Amino acid sequence: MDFFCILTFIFILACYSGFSRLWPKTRTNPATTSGARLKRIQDAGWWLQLLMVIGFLSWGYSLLAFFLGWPFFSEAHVRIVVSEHHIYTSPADMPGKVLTFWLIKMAWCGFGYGVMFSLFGLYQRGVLYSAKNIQHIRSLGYFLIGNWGLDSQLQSSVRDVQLSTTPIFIGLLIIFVSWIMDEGRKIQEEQALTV
Amino acid sequence: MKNFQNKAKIIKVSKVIRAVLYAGLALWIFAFFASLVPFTSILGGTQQLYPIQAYTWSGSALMCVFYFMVNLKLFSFFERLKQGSLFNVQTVGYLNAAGKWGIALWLYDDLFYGLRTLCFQVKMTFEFGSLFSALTLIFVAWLLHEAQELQEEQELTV
Repeated sequence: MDFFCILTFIFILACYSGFSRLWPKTRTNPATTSGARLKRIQDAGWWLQLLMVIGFLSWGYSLLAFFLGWPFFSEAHVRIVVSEHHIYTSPADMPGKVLTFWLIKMAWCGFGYGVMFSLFGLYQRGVLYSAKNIQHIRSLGYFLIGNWGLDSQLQSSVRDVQLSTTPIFIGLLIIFVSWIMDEGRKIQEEQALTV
Repeated sequence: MKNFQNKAKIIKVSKVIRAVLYAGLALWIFAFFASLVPFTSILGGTQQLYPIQAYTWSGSALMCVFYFMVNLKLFSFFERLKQGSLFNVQTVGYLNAAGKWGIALWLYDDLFYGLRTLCFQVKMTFEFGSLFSALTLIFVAWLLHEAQELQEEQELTV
């Protein structure tokens, strides 16, 4: 069993442990109090933040490994797949334009990580429907659309575009849902102010 | 802005998106039958398909079914919004179902390309954008469901 298998096993175990802590509470006790429900959301927020940290660390390591030529778990080199026929194992192999777009994409992914980490942090603190939560959910929609645009530019630069339009549509849908949530929040605020 | 104005605005936008999704449903039905067209030439005995052609066309037809289901669930979601049922159990359920069909679509997509690689030695790449989108949908639906039950409990608490 290599290091990658051990890490995958620990990851699956952490996921199972997290979900088994959250899931039975709803099945065995459907009449949960609002306090217990809030606690479950906070627990989910904590577990998702933990997964984000693990994901961010492995993502950061893969970037370093790509630039410095380090091995990545069982692989001798990190392989960056731009499209089916354009796979790179070091920055020197990448044409300048591809490298630029790829670096912009990585920065954009860092932004995505930041938004999600902050969103799950709010849930962990029990903040469910603040303006900031909705702003983060909207940013997720923008992230999906932006990521699709960057992928499209990246693949166009090697003249090998092979993309699904699902993320762009789902991104728009999330922006729409966040707008409805924002309107709902405003309605609630208005009702709370009405005497 | 008054409450009814907000709701009217949401219903108006939902109506437009619902119309687009309605066109999408028609498109997937058309794409499904279009994927089956090459097989009619076999039945007619006029032409033979190579194995990779038969695999790709039949796989594409099945993929249209998955796309159709995601589209249908999203259509039902916007249909509910258009009717003014903003975030009740059924509306949120449709959003959740769309996310689950999205995951099924991603699994099928990777299986389809994986088998093509195994059988016909065509290169493949894994795509995680669709999976991330589907998971985000399920997450938003779960959040709305929890918040809605929390609100119901708070309303019942005297």
